[in-house]
Amino acid sequence: MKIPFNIKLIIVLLSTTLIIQVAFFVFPEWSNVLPQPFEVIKVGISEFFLGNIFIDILVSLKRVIVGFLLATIIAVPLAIFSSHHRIGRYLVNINELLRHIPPIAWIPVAIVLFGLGDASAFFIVFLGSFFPIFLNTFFGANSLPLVYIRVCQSFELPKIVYMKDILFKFSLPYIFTGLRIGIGMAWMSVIAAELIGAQSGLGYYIQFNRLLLHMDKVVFGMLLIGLIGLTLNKLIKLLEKKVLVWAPSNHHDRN
Amino acid sequence: MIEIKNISHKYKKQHHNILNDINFYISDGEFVTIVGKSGCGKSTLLNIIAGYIKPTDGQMVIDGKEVNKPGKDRIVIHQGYDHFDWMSVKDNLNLINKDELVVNQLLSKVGLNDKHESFPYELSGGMKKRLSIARALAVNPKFLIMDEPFSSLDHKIRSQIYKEVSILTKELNKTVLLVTHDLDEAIELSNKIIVLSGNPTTVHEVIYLDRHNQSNDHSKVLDQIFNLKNQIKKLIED
Repeated sequence: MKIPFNIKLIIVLLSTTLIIQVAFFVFPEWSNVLPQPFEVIKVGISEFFLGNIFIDILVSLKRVIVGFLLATIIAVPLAIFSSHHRIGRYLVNINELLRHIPPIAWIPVAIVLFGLGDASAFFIVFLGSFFPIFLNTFFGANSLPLVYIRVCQSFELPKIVYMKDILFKFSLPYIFTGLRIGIGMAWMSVIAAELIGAQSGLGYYIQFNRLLLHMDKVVFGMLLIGLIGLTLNKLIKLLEKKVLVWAPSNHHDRN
Repeated sequence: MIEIKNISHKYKKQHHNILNDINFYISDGEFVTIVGKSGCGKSTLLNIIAGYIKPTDGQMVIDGKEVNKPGKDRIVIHQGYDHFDWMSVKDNLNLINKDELVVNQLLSKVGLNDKHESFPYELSGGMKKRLSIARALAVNPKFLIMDEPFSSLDHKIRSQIYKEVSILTKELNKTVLLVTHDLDEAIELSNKIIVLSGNPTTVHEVIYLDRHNQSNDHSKVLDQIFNLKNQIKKLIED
């Protein structure tokens, strides 16, 4: 019998919670420094009823979506164009240099450039997601088989049709891999940016509660980050399944 | 008519020519097969005729004009699968020809009339090849160039598709250039067989097959085919 993904997730979460709770009974000294699972659940319920946490979630999500979409809109066409142009090698080398700088290292630069607030968070998220999307798309477009190029030459397809219907569509599976890595990087970047240079969002929520020594809220915030990251990844996977109907691999469930 | 005039070719990293002073012509409506040892440069010659590579020397003249780039008048059906996986059967043809009537007619001619909306991964190997044939014909090319196009299929399906191609190209009055290593197919389908051999490769012999004066005696025909096959084998080995 096949168990749906959501049920699997609930089973994993409940069993992990139970194991941690049992660990707290075995090592009672842990509760001096860390919140027990039931305390985290209790604080979670009260935070949901208070409602303020939703504002922080929405603020972080807005930053992720804006930065991530900007990165996608710029990285995909640029990578497709670069893959068949002399400038491509140059851009890939610049990417190789910049992608090793973690987004968190850009935070001082972002604050100097854009100040404290949304603009610098957008910038950090943009940087975090740009490189994986660009490199995966570039790699995809660059691996277009010679036979397709020759078919396009024989049929004398216009350049725009070649770029849009052949190169772009062939690269779609690679683009989706880039998007999945990119959304993870975007989410990690926004939290890092909010921990240091913001006055709102989930990262700020964790940082603020850490200073007040509310460890139950810190752990609750961490769990929220994990769950939202998982949901975002799942959303991209769903979109991928809808778009890549032609790929045989999308007709098997790969949960 | 395609005229191949004194074509020689050398790849950049090689010291010697792979093709040397190749001369032949393909008249309109002919079914011409190129045979030769593997690695002798058959595909290189075909790529030159398709316009994908420029020969080091010599020229190709089509209907009186020198040609050195690919074009809609010469469509290649490649050795592997060359359809676009992300497009349905119909969209593969619509990319080339928007005329629904022509597309529907071609798909039914190749036996894919109930597969319009299918994606290539849903088709068998033979169907995928039929899709390539239909797409090639969608631009109404004068010449069809086939580079061992059905070598990935099993023998039974391969000979069936070859027969269909032969009928279809006659019906549509296409000139066909086929590269194959299967001598039975070459003898069965062609009006003319060009035998490549030697090092560097050159045209060793052009064999004309007279289909109109073929004997009605089945055993005599088999004998003739057997002798011809041996003759070609010998020429290739020379």
